[in-house]
Amino acid sequence: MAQDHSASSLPAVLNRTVFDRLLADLRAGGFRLIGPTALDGVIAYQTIHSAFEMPSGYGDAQEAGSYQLVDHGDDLLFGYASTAQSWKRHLYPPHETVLTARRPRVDNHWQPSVNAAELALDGESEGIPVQIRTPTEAGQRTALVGVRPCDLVAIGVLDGVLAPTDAEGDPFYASRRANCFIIAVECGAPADTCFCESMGTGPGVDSLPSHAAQADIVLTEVPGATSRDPLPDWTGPTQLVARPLTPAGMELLTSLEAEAASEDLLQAARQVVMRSRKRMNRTLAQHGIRELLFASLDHEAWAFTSSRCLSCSNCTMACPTCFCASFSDASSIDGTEVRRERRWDSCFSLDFSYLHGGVVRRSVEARYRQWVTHKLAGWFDQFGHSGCVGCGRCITWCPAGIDITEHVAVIRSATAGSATQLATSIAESVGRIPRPDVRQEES
Amino acid sequence: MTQRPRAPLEPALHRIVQRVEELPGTTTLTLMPVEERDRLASPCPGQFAMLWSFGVGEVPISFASVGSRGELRHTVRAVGPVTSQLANAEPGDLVGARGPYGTGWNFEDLRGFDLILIGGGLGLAPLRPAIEVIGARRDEFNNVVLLAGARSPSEFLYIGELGKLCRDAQIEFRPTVDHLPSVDDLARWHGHVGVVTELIADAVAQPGRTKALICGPEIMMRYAARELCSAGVDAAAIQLSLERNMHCGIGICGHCQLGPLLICRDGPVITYDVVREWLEVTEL
Repeated sequence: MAQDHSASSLPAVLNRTVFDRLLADLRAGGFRLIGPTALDGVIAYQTIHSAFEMPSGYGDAQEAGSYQLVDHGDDLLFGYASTAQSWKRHLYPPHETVLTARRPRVDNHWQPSVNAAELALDGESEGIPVQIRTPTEAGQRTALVGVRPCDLVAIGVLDGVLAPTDAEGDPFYASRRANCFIIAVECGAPADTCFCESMGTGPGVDSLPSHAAQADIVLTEVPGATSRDPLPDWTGPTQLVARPLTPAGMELLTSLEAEAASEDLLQAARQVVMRSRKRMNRTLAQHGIRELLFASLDHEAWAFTSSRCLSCSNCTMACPTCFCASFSDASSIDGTEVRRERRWDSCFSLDFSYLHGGVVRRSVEARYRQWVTHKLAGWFDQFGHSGCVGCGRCITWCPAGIDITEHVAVIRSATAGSATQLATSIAESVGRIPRPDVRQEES
Repeated sequence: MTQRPRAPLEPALHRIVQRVEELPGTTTLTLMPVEERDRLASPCPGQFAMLWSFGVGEVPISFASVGSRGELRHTVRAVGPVTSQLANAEPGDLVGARGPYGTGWNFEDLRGFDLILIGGGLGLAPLRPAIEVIGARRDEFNNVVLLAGARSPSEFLYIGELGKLCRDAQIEFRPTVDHLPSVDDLARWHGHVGVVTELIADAVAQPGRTKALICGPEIMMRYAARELCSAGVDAAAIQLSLERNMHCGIGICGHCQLGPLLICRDGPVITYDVVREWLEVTEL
């Protein structure tokens, strides 16, 4: 039976059932699915098996130092902003064995000093009393379902660090990335903490910076008339509009034989992005930011802001681009086996800048300054673009409600640094952190 | 033989073939690849390798010599667990090595100039292969002087061989120690007494035609570079070998940052005009 699989049926409309068929097709093609779920009071990216495990009707309320999962009771699959954990967790796990080595037990002597010829070791390294094995990543094909534009850029930023085209990188990360199929979703629900608009990293996928990760399919969720937050000009039901961005995405979408989106629906999809743009609450002005920050290393704002910083490293864990890691060897109790583990580390750890004889960045102020200047300034020198994508996670997940956009604005506006202005600004910021009792009442 | 492709963080097994105790707790190890196909690429003086002690971990150590045939030579001071294990290893023991990493001394930039090499303490280690290279290419450079410092004569790295190395390379050798703690030292020491930076002004004959290589404790390098600049040497003519917590060697772990620089990738050898502003900021 001949079917016309031309691009004329695209962009396609996917209702929940068709969208679920898309996911089923990916699974049938050998892809593991990672997508949003409502778990432990947050939206979290987890392994999923169908669209029906996704957090339909859920949204979030995010502010500096506060995250609340909200049940809107409508039928949106993507009615929330940045998730608690980013895709980094799946592409670059918090800890991973990157190397194993073993050597024979030799009379409890710590150093191997046996005659190699006496050993019967398996494989290629016969005759060598220490064997090194680098775990080969199976490279399971993985589909990332529901990647926001800011997170597309974040994955691209990680690519630049961990899988550079012109240098060595992290082979495990590179292997995972090479096996990714990405379904992006334009943002229709920015949180109070979001500032992608000012970073040029969202809320739509058009005109993202060139280092953004390539999505295969991009969705736009148009809220239906009965949803909590309908569009003025769309009276139909909630729909997903799907556009292919790669040949693989095109192949998958056309094979669904879904209905083509009407011009009205496409117009509504564009409105979703435009509305999100207007709803963006925070900004982080980018002009001259590298020069501004590097010229302000002795600004008093660092001391003011960091006086609230607990140096807990939550911001670096939640950040979708913070890549700092430590490697450590752990050996078995008889000393014959060793595993080298890579673990996420943070520039907020005291020993992160350890050098024989001491630590370079002893004060919290220096560590906070390191994080902000690396993210927003040094990243340009090291990798050619900003390390920030405006997802707002560091603001939401800071237990002290420290706001990077506000900190930079203070430096920008008060280059002379009036102490009163800084104190006022910080007092206002602290005042915005919801107190626990208030949160109790709301929930 | 072709080299076996290795994963970026995978060390190549090397056997310790020689161990020389330079100072108490400071040892020079000579390593040979266990298998020829695991030989590292030839290092440039100033670059470093990540040395691995089984079950303990890795440390960045500069090349103390750039011998041929895959032979690696490193001077290690026992400070932490890994360096203690390495410094106490014996001939026949196996260690891992990966690299070479980072930037080396830029010799092309030195051609036709007077050279001042300034080393302090263990900072003499990365300068040692530079002395070898300068000796081998001696015609390309004008007057060369080595200003070498240590806390005391008994803590002077390579003191037994530096004189001869410099003579062979036609390099003027001006050693100095911070102080002479013992009567023996007083009797034996014929060099200068004082910090190495005191020797700089005298060593600069024609500042516009002078280039410098410096390696030592950061505070020494800061003062030495300042001293050179005030003697009229151009900041871009001063190469420093910096140290930060180089942990992965390939710019993916973030530990070794100094302002916009990743020292493992952009360094360790960087010219003073590039790093001056960052070295002046405390706790950067």
